[in-house]
Order: sequence, then structure tokens, then C-alpha cells
Amino acid sequence: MKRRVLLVDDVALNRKLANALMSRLGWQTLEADGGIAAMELLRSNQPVDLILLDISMPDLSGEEVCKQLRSDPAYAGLKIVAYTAHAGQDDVERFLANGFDAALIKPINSQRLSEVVADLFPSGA
Amino acid sequence: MKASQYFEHMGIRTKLIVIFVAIKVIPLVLLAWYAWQAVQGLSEDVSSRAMQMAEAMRTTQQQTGKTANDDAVRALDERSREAIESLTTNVARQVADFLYDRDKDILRAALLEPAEATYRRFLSGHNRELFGHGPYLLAADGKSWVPAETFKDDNPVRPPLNDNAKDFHTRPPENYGIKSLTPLFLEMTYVDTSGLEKVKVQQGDLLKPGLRDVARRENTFIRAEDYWPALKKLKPGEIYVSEVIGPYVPTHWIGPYTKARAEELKRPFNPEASGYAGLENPVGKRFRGIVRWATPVEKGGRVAGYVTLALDHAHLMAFSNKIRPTPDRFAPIADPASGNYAFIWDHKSRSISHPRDYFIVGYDPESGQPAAPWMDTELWANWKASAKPWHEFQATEPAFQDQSLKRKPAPESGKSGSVALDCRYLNFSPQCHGWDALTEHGGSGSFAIFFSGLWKLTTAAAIPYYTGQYGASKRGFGYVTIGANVDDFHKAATDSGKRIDAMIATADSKLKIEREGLQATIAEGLGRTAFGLSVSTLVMIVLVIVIAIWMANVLTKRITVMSGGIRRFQDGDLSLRLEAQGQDEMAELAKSFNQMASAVQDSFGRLEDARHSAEEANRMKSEFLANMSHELRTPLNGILGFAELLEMELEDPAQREYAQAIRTSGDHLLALVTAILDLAKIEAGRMDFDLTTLDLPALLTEVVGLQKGHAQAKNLALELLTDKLPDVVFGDRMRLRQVLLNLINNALKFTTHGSVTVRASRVDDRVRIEVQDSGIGIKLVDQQLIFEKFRQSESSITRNHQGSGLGLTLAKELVEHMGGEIGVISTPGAGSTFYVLLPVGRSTQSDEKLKGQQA
Repeated sequence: MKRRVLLVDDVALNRKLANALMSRLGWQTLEADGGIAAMELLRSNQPVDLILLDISMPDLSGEEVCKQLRSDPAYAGLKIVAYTAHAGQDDVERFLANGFDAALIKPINSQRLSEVVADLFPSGA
Repeated sequence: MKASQYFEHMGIRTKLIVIFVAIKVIPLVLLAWYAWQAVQGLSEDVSSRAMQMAEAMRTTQQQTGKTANDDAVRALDERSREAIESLTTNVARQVADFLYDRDKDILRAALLEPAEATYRRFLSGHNRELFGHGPYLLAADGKSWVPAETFKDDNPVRPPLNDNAKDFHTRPPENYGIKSLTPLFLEMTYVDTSGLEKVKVQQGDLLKPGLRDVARRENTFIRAEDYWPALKKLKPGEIYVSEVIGPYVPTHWIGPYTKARAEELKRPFNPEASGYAGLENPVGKRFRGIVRWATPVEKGGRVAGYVTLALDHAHLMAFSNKIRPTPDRFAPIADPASGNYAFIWDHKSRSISHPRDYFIVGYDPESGQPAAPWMDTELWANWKASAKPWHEFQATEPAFQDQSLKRKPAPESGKSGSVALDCRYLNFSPQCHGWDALTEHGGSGSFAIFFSGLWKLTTAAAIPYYTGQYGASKRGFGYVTIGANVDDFHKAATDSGKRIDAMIATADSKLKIEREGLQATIAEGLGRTAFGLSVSTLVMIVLVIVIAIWMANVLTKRITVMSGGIRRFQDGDLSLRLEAQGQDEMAELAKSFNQMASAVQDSFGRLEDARHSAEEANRMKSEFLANMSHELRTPLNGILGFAELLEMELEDPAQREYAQAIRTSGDHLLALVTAILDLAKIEAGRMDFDLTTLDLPALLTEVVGLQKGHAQAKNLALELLTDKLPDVVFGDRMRLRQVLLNLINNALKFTTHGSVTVRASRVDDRVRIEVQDSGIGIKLVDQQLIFEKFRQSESSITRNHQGSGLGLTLAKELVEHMGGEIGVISTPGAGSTFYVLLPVGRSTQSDEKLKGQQA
């Protein structure tokens, strides 16, 4: 069974790029166009292994989503990776401190993405 | 710390207190000390004056007493001396008169018919009253002799009238003793011209009866008379007088002869066998002697013979042995122990009348020669050494030889029983020589001598009798001496002196008590003064200190308030203003402070506003930069991501190359954006540096490893050489990594063949990291410019080599922010060497920069 990744970004192009790259890595993809949508989707008992989560979103920020998920034991095994254009070193450190498992700084490339995923899921897809 | 330094470190309040206390307390203490000194000085003065007065009074009293006493003593002594000298002279005169009477007797006798009857009649007509004492008995206690019968005077005489009562003084009849009419002469003889006695009439039993040839000495009285040769030379009317001649009465005892003393000395008690000694031994043997007068008897105009008269020596004795130079005047018996007695000495200074009969010079009846006198040790030894009879030894021995009280009687001399006093040889009695001198020219006099433990006045008067041999010197017959205890003369004065001394002592002790009282009063007063002075001084000192503290408080309160206010202002209470009461300097100071505070507060307000504005602007700038980055990265994500997808999915190589071109351009743009944003961040001071010690060898290995692929792709050698490298340097690992990657990347980028070498070594306290290439090199003019923004050594190269143009600028900024230094050494065409110097330890520069960024 394929692993499932939820791609959350308010920009459709970014979702599409991530979808293409993750699909190429053999993942089953789900998409959400905002934080609220992402939370609804997760609560609708869609099983997800990984979230690529944009930070700057108009309705609910990625950081807030991460915070809610990390406060819920039901999502203890869920891997959350920041998928953001916030490139500051301090930003990355903040994310990692607040429950993100890794950070992918936009612009991304396939090599960096596959490294991060391989780090989080060593057994492969 | 020195006193002055202490003072400098004091607060104003303490200084004020110290100064005030100093200027008040020191004079106070000095004043108290001065007052104390003055009072003490006064009391000492009073005390010492009182002492001096008392001392002066005492001295005066003593001197007065002493003077009076001395005068009295001297007056009494002089009177006594005069009285005694007078007595002595009188006695001497009486003796002389008596002797001259005997001259008359002999001359009258020469006119008589030399016949026994005539002579007997003559003798019986020449008698003289002598006084003797009755029998004495040893007292019951054996210590003294007492008269067998005591004479009592029971007829007290009282003044008949009041007018006689003052100083009424009466004496009982003089007690000379028992009176007896005694013949003057013991013998009367008529001697013919051949020396044969023709007529002899005797009285008493002293002289032997029978007519003898007196020309021969052995036929004379105790073989001692030698008048015959003298008689033959006499012309009618001339008189011969012999010396005193009698057998010496020896003694085995000198001094009081009592039974008690005999027992004490363990000697037989036989006073009768010893010489008579007045009250010392009233039962002893008496000295009996004669003085012979002779004168030629004329018959028909020629000397037919000589008549002689032998005077009983007892009559001479009578002149001296009853005299006492005391108020008693006379005594029936002499008391030799008292020291107050009279002696008679002949013209040769030999004792011829003495209360102790054994002291009278006499003759040895066997030899007819003088008995040996009492001698001192030296004379005795000399005499014994000479082995001569005394008279022969004496003939060559000088008289009065070194007489001194220091000489002592020879014990053997005393024991010999022959102790006659021949003053010429009595060398342990220096008064002998004195008497000799006093009477040498016929006069009289006295001197005092310390003898037998008493000061004695001794007087001597020549006996002015110059008949016969006695006319040879002015001394005449000899001399009378009377001694007396000096102390007895002035007993009254001494007694009054003692009374005066006692009075003075009483006055003195009273004065002493008064003086002690005065001193005690002064001491008490002093004590009170000292106490009062101390207490009042202490009270005043305490008062002064209290006032000093109070004044200092008043004076410094406003300063304290002011400095407290200033401190509060310093601590941030900028709205604080001081109270500015009054018109004095303190008020001026407060006003000035308030003005300054207002100005400072205004400035602070403006500064605060400016800071707020600057911070706001900075915040907005940061926000803008962050937003810029975010907004630029978002489209780049799409461009680069889809370009990569295209590149991966396109099958036509030409199309794939186009897609690759898009991605390369996007990458370039991303690099440019990143560099611009980093630079902007640095310039805005918003780049954070995580400065720690980092593992340099590991970092170098990592960055060189990262660029291996790039080097291999260009067929270039990439080497890492390290030398004596410290394990750690100080810096931000990520930024240093960025800088080194940039430098190696540039080196590889601008090198077409050859090699790139990375070297690292320690230079002093810094680490030098070099990146050397064998590339195109950089012109000297460009070597500084390449670190400036948007500069490259050659614009054409930029296009060929895909540089942002901002890499070195950023590297320079980063290195400098880590406290390091960056530079280049290059030869165009031969290659370039970029170097970075970083501190091994934490540099102060980076410290300061860090602080600056954090603020």
C-alpha cells in the first residue's frame, strides 16, 4: 500500500509541483488549499503519513495547523514537513522547535525532496 | 591609609562633625587641662610654702633653742671651769702656803739648842687638825662599802621671813669627817757635819728609832733618802726640802674592791692586803711617807750641824683627798670611781696625793729605789727587754713619749702590783702631758678630755713653792689637778635644752599635723576640682558632639536629600525635581539641577522617540526583506520546480536543453536574490551570527569534499593542505562554510586548467585559510573592487561564469562580522590566492560587533 502525503498550500501551482514530485517518488497524494481544509480533511479520517505544509496561508497558518496536530495524540505518528518560502535560518529553527520534522525551503528540487523523504521514511515508499 | 586620606574618604556630614568636634573639643580639653594645671600648681605652691614656713619656723625654733642652750652650756661650762680652776689654784696656793709655813718651822728649829728635850717641845707644839673617816663595812650585798656609822643632819633650816624665802638656800655644816689633831712632823733630828745623827725625836711609828750615819743612804728612811750630799752644800739660812718619800703600797686590785666583784672575778677577797682606795677600798693599806726639811745650824759663826724635820705626808694628802668639785664641795672619803677628785703631783709629775694610795709613787724599802710605775704595753715591753732595774731604765727613757688614749695599759704591769702613777711614763694617759704643759711656767689652766667614757674637764695649777730644789722651775713644788665630769657642769642647761627640744618636738608634731591637715585639705580640694573639672569637661564634650551631629545633620540634610534625588534621577526617575527653598547656594544648586533635569528629560524624550522611529523603520525593513524573500521564492519555486520536471520529462534533447536553461537562469536568480537579501540583512544589522568554537579541520574537509565533484567535472585537482592547525577557531560555522564554499567555487569557476589548493595554517593567534588557484588572476586595480557590490574582474567573464557578483562582497561582510579579515593576492594570468584570517580565540572585535547587533 502506498504511503499518503497531504499537500497543503494556498497556491495551486505549488501544490501541483509537490504533487508531481511526490507522485514521481511513488506517493499517493491528497491536496488541501488551506489550513482549515487540511484539518477537515484529516479529521474526515483520511489516513495520511506525511504532510507538506505551507506556512503562510490566509485562513490558518501552517504553524497553527502543526500546533493543533501536535496537540492531538491521534496524529502522533504523522510526519509534518514545512513547505515554505520563509528561508531564514531562524525560521527553520523555529519550525523544527515547534513540531515540524523537517523543512523544505522553496524553491525546492527533486533531489532535496527525496532526501528529506528518505530521511523521514528510511524503508522507502 | 593616611589620616588625610581617611579624611578625604569621609562624607561631608562626618567631616563637619569631625571639624566641629575638633575645634570645640580640643580647646575644651586644653582649657580643662590648663585649669587643672593652674589649680594643681596653686595647691603645690600653697603646700610647699606651708612646708617652707613650717620648716623655717622649726629651724628657727631649733636654732633659738640650740643657741640658748649652747650659750647656757658655754656660760655654765665657763663658770664651772672658772670655779674649778679657781678651786684648783686655791688648793695649790694653800699647799704652797702650808709648805712655806714649814720653811718657817725649819728655820725656827735651826735656832733651837740641838737637844732631845728642846726638839720634843718643838714637835709637840706643831700639830694640825686632820679629818678622817670612820670605819667602813662591806654592805650586806657585798657590792659596796658603807660607813659603820652614818652622819645624819636632822636640823632642816627654813626661811624665817617671807622676805628671805626667795632662793633661800642653806647648807648643813661642812662634813669633813672625824677630826683629829695630828702632829705635823714624824721626826726631828740633828746631824753633825760628818752625817752622824746626834739628836733624834720621833712621833708615830713610821720611822725607825736609833741614831745612824745618814751620810750613808742605807741608813736613811727606807734607804731612799739622799739628803746628805745636799745638806753639805747648804749655807746658813738655806733650806733643803726633799721629795715625798714613802714605801710604795702595792696592790693586786685596781678599781672597786668589793666581795661581789671578787666573786665575779674569782679572786680572793682580801682588801686589807691591798692598797687603800677611798670608797673603793676603805680598809686597804695606807701610803705613809715623809717630806724632809733641813737647814744648817750655826754655832759660833760656822755650821755646826743640821736640823731636819720629816713632815707627815698625810698633811699633804689632806689638801686633796676631801675635795669634791661638786656642790658637795667636801666629802669625808674620796670616791675615785666618780671621776671628780683632786690629785697632787710633785715637780717631776709624780703622783704624791691620790685617792687610790697604790697610785702614789713610792720606794721599794729593800732597794731604796722607786717602785716601777704603771706602764703601757710598749713601755713595759721595752723595760722588760732592757732587763734593767726600773730606776736605771727610767734614767735613759724620755718623758711624755707619744702619750695617747690609744695606748693601753700593759696587763702584766697591772698584775705586777706596782702601778704607781709617774705621769712622765703614764703613756696611756695623755692628760699628763697636758698638765705638764699647763703648769710648766707656774700657771694654771684646764682642758677637756674624753677619758674612761666621759668628757672630763681637768684643771691643773702649779704649786708656787720655790724653796730648795723646787726653785729650779716655775712649776715649783708640783701641781694640783682637779677633774670633773663636764656634763655635770651644764646639767641644768642640758636639762633645759632637753625641755626645749621636747617643746620643739611637740610644736613640730603639732605643725606636722597641721601641715598634713593642710595637705589633706588641698588634696581633697584638688580631688574635688579634678572630679568637677572632668565631669563638666565630659558633659561639655558630649554636648558639643551632640550639637556637632545635630548641626552636621541640619547642614547636610539638604545635601543628602539632593544627592538622594540625583541618585533617583540617575536610576531613571527623570520626572524627579528637587525642592528649591530659599536663596542660598543649595537652592541655586537645586534650581540648576532641576533645569538640567528638564533638559535631560527632554533630550531623553526626543531620543526615545527617535529610537522608536528607528526601530519601527528597521522592523519594517526586516519585514520587507522577509516578505521580499518569501514573495520572490514563491514564484521561483514554480519556475525551478517545473523547469526541473520539464527537464526530467522532455525527451527531445533540444527541448531539454531549453528547460535546463530555464533552471540555470532560475538558479542564478535565486542565488542573486539570496545574496541580495543576505547583504540587505547584514546592512540592516539583522543577520544573526552564531559565534562559537567550531571544528575547523572537519569543516575544511566537508567543504572540499562538497566541491570534489565540481573539480572533477572540470578536470581540476583540488587539494587540502593543513599545517599546525588548531582544532577549533571562533566563528559562525554556517557563515564560514558559506564563505569557503564561495571562495572554492569561484576558484574552480575561474580556473580552466591546473589546480585549486586549500591551505590552512596558524599565524600567531589567527588561522589563515587560503584558496589558491591557477586561474586567470585579477588585475591589481580590480583586487579591491571585487569585494564591492556588483563588481567582477571582467564583466564578460560574469556572463561566462554565472556569478552573482555579490559573493565576495557577502564573504567580506561575513568574515568581518566574525572578527576576521579577507583579502586577495593575485598575478593576472598566473592565478589568485584568496585568504581568510580568523581569530583562534574569541576576538574583542567580534565581541563588540555581537553586542552591537544584539542591542
